[in-house]
This record gives sequence, C-alpha cells and structure tokens, in this order.
Amino acid sequence: MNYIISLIVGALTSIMIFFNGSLSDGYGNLTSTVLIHLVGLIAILLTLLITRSKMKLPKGLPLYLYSAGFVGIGTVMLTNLSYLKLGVSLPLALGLLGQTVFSLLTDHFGLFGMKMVKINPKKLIGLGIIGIGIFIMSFQ
Amino acid sequence: MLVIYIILSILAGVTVVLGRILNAKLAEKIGTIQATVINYVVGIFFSAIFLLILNRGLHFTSSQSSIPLWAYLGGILGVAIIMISNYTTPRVPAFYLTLLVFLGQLAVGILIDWLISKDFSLYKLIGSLFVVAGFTYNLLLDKKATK
Repeated sequence: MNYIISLIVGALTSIMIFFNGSLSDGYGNLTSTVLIHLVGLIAILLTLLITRSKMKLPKGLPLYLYSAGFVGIGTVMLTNLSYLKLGVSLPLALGLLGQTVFSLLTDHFGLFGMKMVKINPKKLIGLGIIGIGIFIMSFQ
Repeated sequence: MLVIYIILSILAGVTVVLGRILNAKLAEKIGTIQATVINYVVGIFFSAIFLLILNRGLHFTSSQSSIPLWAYLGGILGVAIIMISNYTTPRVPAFYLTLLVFLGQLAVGILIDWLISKDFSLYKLIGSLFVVAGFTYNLLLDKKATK
C-alpha cells in the first residue's frame, strides 16, 4: 500500500507542475509564484490547526536555516518557465539529472554539512544512460 | 534558445536538492509542519518583493478571467505532497521510495503532455525508459553501498 502511495506522490507532483504552469501561463511567472505560495500557506496553516501542532521558534537558529523558502521560489519559477516551453515530462527528466548530479557533488565534497561520500565512478554510467534518455525524449 | 530552457530545468533540479537539505535541517529543529509554514512565509515575502520591484504590483487583465479554478490548486497539492512524503519516508525503503515517486512523476507527466499536445510522443516514452534505467542503476549502486 505504501508503495502505491509513493507512486501517487509522484503523480501529484506532475499534476502540480501542470496546475502551476497553467497559472503562470495566465498571470505571468511572478504573480503566479506569489499566488501559489499564498494558497500553499493557507493549506499548511490549516494543517497546523487540524493537527494541533504548536508553532514555536527557538532563539538563536542560524539565519541560513530560513532560506529554504527562498530556494523554493527558484524551484517554482524555474519549473513554470520550463513548463511553458518543454511541457511536464522533459523538465522532470532534466530536473532529475540536475538533482542527481548536484547530490553527487554535495556528497563528494561534503557540502552543507553533509557526510562526505566520494563519487562512485560507476555512477557516471547511470548518468550517461539518463543523458541518452533525455536526448531521445527531446525529439519531436 | 531551447538550450536555455534545458539549463533552467536542470537548475530547477539543483534547487530541489538545496531546498530539501535546508528544509530537513530546519524541520529537525522545529518540526516538519512548522518548517513548512516558515518556508511559505519566507517564500511569499520574497516573491512579493520581487513582484513589487520587477512588476510594479499586481496586474489583472480580462484574459486572466479564463484561468480555470483548478489552476489555483497547485499550492494545495504542494502541501499535500509534503505531508504524504512525511508519512511514506520512514515507511518505504529509500530505494523504492525514490524510484516509485519518479516513476509516478514521469508516467503522469507523459500522460499530461500527451493530453495537452493531443499527440502521443513515442520518443518521450522510449527516452523515459532510458532515464528510468540509468536512475535505477545508480540507485542500485547506492543500495549496495549502504549494505
């Protein structure tokens, strides 16, 4: 059952990209990014209320911890831009490539306080196959 | 010109990883739901500032009245995805979780592209099989390394 739920999470992601992309098609990227975050904030505040979670911010949290939301703007805007030109599936495959390469680099150099794990050269084979797949996907 | 959008898509993937790392660190300190609230507050604050500076405020024109209601629901889906992932992550082995989420994304992504362009692309289907194969191979290497 949990495996099916995992598949559904993926499906929801694609539907979200489609919804957000359609919104940005109508309003432009900046306005839609604000709207998307606004709707999301209302949803998460309702979740906070329903689950009766307490919101408390401990003092002295390093400022950079708050930057995920800033990075999130980048994700939304970049995805919306690509959606308008490339649709849903191709940006997903390209995004996966970006995720894989960037995770390998953060692990390899132990960036952002991650444990250092050297790149396994065999992984370049996997990256190569992903690259070939993306190349084929980009044919019209 | 297409190259620019290819680079933008890859960068989107980079921001996903960066956001995930930062968010996980904040969630560790204050909880997942609480970290998500902060995320959205910070997100609105900065995107609104960008909007004010670059767009000089909100502009609504008549063409926007044709935007269907469902297009506004992406933000809710985003929160739903975070909450469901919160449930599945400790329950599904990382290998299957990552692979299944990506399979769901790609399958529905190809379906949406197909429905919108009204034109089924065999290239997208075949290419995505390669992408899944390469991704699976690397995940298998990870799985072997953790054993």
